[in-house]
Amino acid sequence: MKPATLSRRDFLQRASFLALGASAASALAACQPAATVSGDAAAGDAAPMPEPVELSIWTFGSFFTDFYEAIFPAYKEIAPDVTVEVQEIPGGQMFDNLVASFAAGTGAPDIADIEQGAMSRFFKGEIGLIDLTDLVAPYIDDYVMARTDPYAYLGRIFGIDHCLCPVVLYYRHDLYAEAGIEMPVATWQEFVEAAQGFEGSEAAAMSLSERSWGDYWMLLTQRGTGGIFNADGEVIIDQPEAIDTLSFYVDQLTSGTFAVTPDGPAGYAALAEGKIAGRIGADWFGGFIKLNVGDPGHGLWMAAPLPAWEEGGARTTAHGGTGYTITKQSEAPDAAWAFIEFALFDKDNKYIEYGVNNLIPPILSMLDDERYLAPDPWYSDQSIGALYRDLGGEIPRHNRHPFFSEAVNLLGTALTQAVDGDLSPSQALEEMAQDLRETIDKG
Amino acid sequence: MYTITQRQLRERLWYRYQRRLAPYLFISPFFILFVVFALGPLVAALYFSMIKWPGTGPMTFIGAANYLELFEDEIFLKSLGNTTYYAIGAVFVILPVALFLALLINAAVVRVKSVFRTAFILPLLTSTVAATIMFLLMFEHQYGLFNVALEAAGLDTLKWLDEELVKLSVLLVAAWRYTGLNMLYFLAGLQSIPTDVYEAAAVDGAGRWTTFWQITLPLLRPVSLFVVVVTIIGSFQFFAEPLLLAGGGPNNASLTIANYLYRVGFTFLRMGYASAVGYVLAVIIFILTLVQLKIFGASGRN
Repeated sequence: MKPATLSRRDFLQRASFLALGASAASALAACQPAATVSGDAAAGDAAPMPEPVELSIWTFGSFFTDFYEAIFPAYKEIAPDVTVEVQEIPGGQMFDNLVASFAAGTGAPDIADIEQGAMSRFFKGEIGLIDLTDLVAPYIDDYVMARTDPYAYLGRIFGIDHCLCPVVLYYRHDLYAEAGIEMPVATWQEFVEAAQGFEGSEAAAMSLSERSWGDYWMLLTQRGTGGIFNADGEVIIDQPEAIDTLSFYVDQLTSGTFAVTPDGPAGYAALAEGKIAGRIGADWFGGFIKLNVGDPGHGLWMAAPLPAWEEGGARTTAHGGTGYTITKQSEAPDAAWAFIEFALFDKDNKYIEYGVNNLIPPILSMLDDERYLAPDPWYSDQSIGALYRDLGGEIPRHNRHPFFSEAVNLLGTALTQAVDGDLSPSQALEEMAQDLRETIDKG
Repeated sequence: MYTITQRQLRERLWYRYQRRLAPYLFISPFFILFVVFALGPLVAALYFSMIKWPGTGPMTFIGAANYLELFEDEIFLKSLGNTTYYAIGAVFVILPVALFLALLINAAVVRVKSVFRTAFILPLLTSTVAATIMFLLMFEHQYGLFNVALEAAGLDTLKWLDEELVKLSVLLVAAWRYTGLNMLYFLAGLQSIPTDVYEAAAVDGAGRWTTFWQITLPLLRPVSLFVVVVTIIGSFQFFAEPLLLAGGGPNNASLTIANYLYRVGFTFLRMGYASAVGYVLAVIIFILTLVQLKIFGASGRN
């Protein structure tokens, strides 16, 4: 995800501002929902905690650590008996440690930031995370519930995302204009036709990855069919929409209409040099483009809704994300949820987080805030925030499963087989579906 | 008549036992640590390899089912093949190159030996992650240094990280990283060979080639045994480079057994199955080590 774009001084200033605005935070506390983890008392009735509480948070990136540290002083103002400590454990090691803690029955933190891709493994066996479904319920009108999908299984929610992560099409408006493409384009079919305008030039309208399943996943979930599993946990990756999406994917790569995304940082070099004129990606990826393309791209880029799969279909999806979770080993789950509410549902805190890690809040009412809507000079003075806001409510729902990690591993193989032409898209996905069903049956 | 009191008896016994116990006490830290961190986990893993357990909840004893599944598991067999490829590459490519470099540096004609020694050992001191990411950039199909060089030479570019070439690419990274270390081992072995043996051979009229085959190689045997054993064990535990370079892919083409063990253990949470993979890996390493000891004659009179 995108590193800090806000200086330490800036967010310390904002933290001080937040401390001054403690009255606003108190108002927030008064609006807390009635549900609690333990079910002991309504949060609105909550008296100051009689015993000092120590909360521990595990997170895996400095961009989250910086955010937490920026809001701790303000939290101390409204919850003086609560001490929160954040421990940053890099990359996948944090999730391995969490697995080990659940296996050992001890050592887990109160709150764990779990990256969405690492989440579904924790649905296996006895789930070591607290069911947040009832706690999230009061927010369902304002929170984009699709952002709980990566942390939910069979209707129960075990995590709630920091970010909206809406996917849009970032593009070079000068090159698109030269190719005669008028954005936004309504459907993918029309986009492919328009992309022929790049024929004979060095650039391609956009690129897709030849090996990684992420681009396919975005296109698939955009269709709103649920992804790899349906809501009952059944494998549906061999359904017509999934095959059609992979056929589209393979066709564009083999015909050369879309370019192959170069691996690693070379992908940004291709964007900077104008060889690839568009990429699909989430809000954080837009930040990556800005950071890695830098000054040469200033004023040349814009963002548009994704072309839909059919007229009136969703023009976005979500990609990536990190969810707040509370472990069952927590001795203070109510305090843990209160802290999550403070960090996630307070608009000033979310803006501090936006300053630190560029993550757009998944809460629709916050997106009307002028601070997110300001024109971005790098993106040709476009209000990217307004685009995210307009698309946020369209993010389609999808389903996760305890065997999601196995599923995406098989999906990577299926994608490789289809792109290399070893199997047709339908054969690759049917084989994948069969393997996945057998894997699930074995348990 | 001499009599001793109860107290004196206790003191004598304590003195005697203290002297007997003291050595055990001094060596006990090793054994305690060995039991806790090696023997205990070894026994526990054997038990885990016969259960089904996702890391939480009840464990189900399934006997040898994990082992039986393993030998029908195409991905495991593929990872076994990949790992064997890396081991063969290490022994038959990296080690001969390391020996050649050691001979070169050991030769009287080469000066500033310390500069060469340092240059070849530097890759080992570099962070695995940083170095592998640099190789990732160089292997990139459209912009990578290797393909730019091939194009400049008028040759076709290669897809270094595709299914066909990815193992070779991983091996190149391993060669860059580990050749220097093995060279140092060989160099130490070469420098421990007494010069009078070479002088005697020269007096007898032995040429360089004969000297190498008849003196250098036989006298390097203990070092060679050590290097080959360590290299094969290391190859079968190979983890970071294939994972960082290609994530074990594409289509599991670069996946090692250690990568697979980690994947099934920590990503798929099949703790029992991962333990079975670990046990099979340990047995393979044990057998290969025995074979090498036999071949090199390290366990017998030879």
